[in-house]
Amino acid sequence: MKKGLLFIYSLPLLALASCLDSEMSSTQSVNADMINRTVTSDYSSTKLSDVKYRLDFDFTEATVDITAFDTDVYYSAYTLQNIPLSVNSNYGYTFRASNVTPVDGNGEPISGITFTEITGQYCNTLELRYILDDKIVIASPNEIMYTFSSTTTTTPGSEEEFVWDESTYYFEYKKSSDAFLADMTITNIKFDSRMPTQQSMTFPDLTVAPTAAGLRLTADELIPLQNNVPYPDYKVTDFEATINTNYSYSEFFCREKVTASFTCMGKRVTVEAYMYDQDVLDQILQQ
Amino acid sequence: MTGISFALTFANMFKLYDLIRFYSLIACIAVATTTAIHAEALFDNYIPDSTTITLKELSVTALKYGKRVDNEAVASSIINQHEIERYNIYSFKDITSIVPNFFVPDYGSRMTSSIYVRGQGTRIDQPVVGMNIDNVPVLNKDNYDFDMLDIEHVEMLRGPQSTLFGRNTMGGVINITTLSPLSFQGTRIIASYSSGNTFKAGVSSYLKPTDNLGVSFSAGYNASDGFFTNMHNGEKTDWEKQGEGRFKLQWRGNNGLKIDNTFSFSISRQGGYPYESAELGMISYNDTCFYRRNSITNGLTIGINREKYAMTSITSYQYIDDNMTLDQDFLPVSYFTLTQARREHTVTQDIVFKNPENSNSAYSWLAGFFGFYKNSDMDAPVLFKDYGITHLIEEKRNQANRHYPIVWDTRQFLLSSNFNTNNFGLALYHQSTYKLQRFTFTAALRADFEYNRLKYLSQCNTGYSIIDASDGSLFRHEDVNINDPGTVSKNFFQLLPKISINYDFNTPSPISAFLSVAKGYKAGGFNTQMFSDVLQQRLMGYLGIGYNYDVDKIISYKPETNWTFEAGTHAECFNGRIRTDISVFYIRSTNQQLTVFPDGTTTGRIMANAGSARSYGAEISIKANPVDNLSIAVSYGYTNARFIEFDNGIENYSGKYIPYAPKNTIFAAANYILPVNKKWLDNISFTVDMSAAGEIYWNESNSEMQKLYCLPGASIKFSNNHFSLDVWGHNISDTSYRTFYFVSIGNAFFQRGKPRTFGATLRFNI
Repeated sequence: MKKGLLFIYSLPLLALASCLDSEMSSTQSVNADMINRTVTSDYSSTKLSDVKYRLDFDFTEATVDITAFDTDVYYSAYTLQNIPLSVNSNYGYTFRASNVTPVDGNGEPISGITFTEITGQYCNTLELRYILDDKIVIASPNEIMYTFSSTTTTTPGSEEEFVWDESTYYFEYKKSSDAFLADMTITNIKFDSRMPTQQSMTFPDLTVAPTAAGLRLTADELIPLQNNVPYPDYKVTDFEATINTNYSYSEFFCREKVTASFTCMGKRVTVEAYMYDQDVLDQILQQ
Repeated sequence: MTGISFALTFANMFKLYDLIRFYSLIACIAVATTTAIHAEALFDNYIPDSTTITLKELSVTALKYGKRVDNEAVASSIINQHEIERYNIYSFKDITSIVPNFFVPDYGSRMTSSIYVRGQGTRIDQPVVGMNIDNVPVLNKDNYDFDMLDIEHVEMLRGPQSTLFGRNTMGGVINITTLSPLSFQGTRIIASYSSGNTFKAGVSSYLKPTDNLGVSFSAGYNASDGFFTNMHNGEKTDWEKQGEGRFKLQWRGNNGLKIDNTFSFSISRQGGYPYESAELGMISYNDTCFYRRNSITNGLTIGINREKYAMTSITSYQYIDDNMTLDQDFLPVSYFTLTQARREHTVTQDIVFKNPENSNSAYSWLAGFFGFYKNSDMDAPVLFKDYGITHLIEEKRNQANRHYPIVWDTRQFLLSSNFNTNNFGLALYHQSTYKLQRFTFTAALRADFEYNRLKYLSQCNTGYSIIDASDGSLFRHEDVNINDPGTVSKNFFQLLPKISINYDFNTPSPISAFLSVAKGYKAGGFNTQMFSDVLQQRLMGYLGIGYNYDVDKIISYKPETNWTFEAGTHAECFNGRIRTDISVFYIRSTNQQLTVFPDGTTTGRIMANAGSARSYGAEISIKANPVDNLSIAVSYGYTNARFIEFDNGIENYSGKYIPYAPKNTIFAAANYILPVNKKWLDNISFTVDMSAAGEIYWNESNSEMQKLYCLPGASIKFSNNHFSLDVWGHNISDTSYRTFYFVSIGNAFFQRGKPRTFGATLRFNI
């Protein structure tokens, strides 16, 4: 509940002050390093790529220009111009456009390329979704924190379970050769009532694969790190996490969820975490 | 400057304390037997204890309540000079249990003034009871406890006094008045020796150079070897040396102008902290513990009477320079030591306007302004030592990672903290009183604003090595460099109302009854003692373990407020031979400030605000003089104080008794004066007394408790006009009891009460 209240108070503040201050200046720019997951319309094939975006907000005109450098789309940077921007005091900035032709660096339209069903939001992090050549592209930040979590620990052979909701899960994606890897850092860790709370621990180099619904992170076995020091006694096995990033054009907002499970110190740990408190979000959206 | 020079000179006398003890005692006896000078004797003229005391006009109590406070709509106890001498009262701690529901356990050091009244109280930071000494409001309770010579009387007003006396008087206020040179002239000498090689000596001189000018000087010294032994080194832990001095000037002008100025100083050195480990069954710690304090106070009271109003101004300056150094674990192993070295300056100003003294109007009024400013600078280093590094840091960390264990660079390191606090407050207050036949209606309101700012700087520079256990090689070295400055501030505003109704039964001897409702207030603030733990956990964070403390949240605490509903009666009967004071009360507190130990293996205490609490009870005091020369005093206080809501996130203590506050306080004494009427001996006075307190719960869970304990005492006093010799005993049954109990780093400790003590006190008037 405490986090939920924090969310209620933080969103307007974040929207109005901390991320973009529309009342202080008429324009503002933000750079974002993103991971694009491109999915065929039948969700039969997926692909990951790393893309840099820049958003140029014009609060006077209530529009945003999205510039991207994605060689899969065009050989140089392109811009989606004048996408209508709206500010909602509850959930920050959102932008939508049904049909946009990109322009090149000289402002000339790029023929043969049309972006449709563009939807996005920005509040501390950018999330973007659009359709290009009948493929759905979902762009997520390469660093994401899931603050609202529930971690359940069970011990084989015992009916008892320990539930802890104070942990935060932070994912950082990186490219290694042509593959994508992720580091998952858990803060405020507690798997057992008798276990002293660990401030943070990082599960390094998880293998990242795109799926029809989002991303899948796996590791058969890993040694977690704390302050870059290996902790062999906390060896993790059978790690699997899924991140669901599929949204429809109309419901795209703040619903990104990660579920994970792994074995550590003989205990099975399952996690469900969100970027935002879903109950509070529902209340806000119903208003 | 004269006073300061006097103080410095006196301080040097500490180096001669062995000689002072012996030769001073001899000198006192010599003076007494060889000198006989006419003087006003204070031992003549038997005055029953039940007699109502009329306070002096410049007394702060008289200013705000009137000269006959014990007939006002307030639960009050007044201890007169005879009682002060009879019960050997030298400091406010000595009146514990004599005043019903007033309890001040004697533990720790002179810095420890944990006062509990009617279930309200705290061990650290803001007190529930205010103290005025010769009108000076002592704002820092760490300076409450020192011995004073020549206390003339003590008034204890119970119940919230916040409306008229301001912050930190939600449980009451103690007003101590020392002897006036305008009412007594002569020289007084006191010398006392008692168990524990305890010696007290003092001399005071009261002069009245003119009819309207009085001047007095006093100096006192006391020293004790103590009663409790640290078994680690075989030395007494609770030794003490203290000196105090006072210079008082009183002037009465012919035009209604009155001036009182009291300058006092106190120097205290003591070991203190005789905490016994419950596991070891003894006091045993290996590092130094001591408390040192120098304090200076000056209070200037100016009163003016005019035709339409009277005005009194009370200005004070208070300076404290003290150092508390502790073996923080109180064990014969070297975990860590803590020092708190502080210098604090405080200025207060109270201006009171009221209707003229001789006004016969049914309506009377009082209005006032109060302001204060306090600046405090404190250094509070914690020295982490070998055992603490090994068991609290290395072992904890290496249990989590035996493959890459750490080794600290050094076997001791410093966590240093410096605090600078600026605190000021302003208040306006007003009281209106209307007399309608036998009823007196009073309504008062105070608007009180306070601002508190804390600047802190926490630093630590150390490091550790991470070893690869597979081959013993160095995996990595980590520096720990903490330099955390910060500022936190808070401000508080309170409206503090009070209403009361007093009914005078209009009998030949005064009998009255009262009802009152008042709001009490204890300021919020910052608990700097927690910083060592904040810093420790910050350091543990470098290792990946430890608690993430939010500094503002962990050190700051909110104000506590309460509402007290009270009814009582004051009655004198049989021509003043019996006086009875009875009161019943109900108190409802919100955000009660409690001292708790936070999670983890830490030693600091934090102030937490409990959800809410309630307290109800009753008090009765009877002073009787059934026949001449016989005085009987009885007082009893009962308090049932519990938490209504208190969940600290780990445990729910709702419904539990509030710790450290006794359920019962009992006092009984009988004194008979046997006239002898010899030239060399006027009378022999026999006194038996008994004080008791309990049950006292030591923690919020009520799992540890001190049962009711009784401490009987007795004395025989031989007196004539110019001298008295008092042979006395305290706790003559040698009752064993605990005055304090706490748990630190998972270890339980307690302090025992003082054992049986016997002594003799010589007093001379010259």
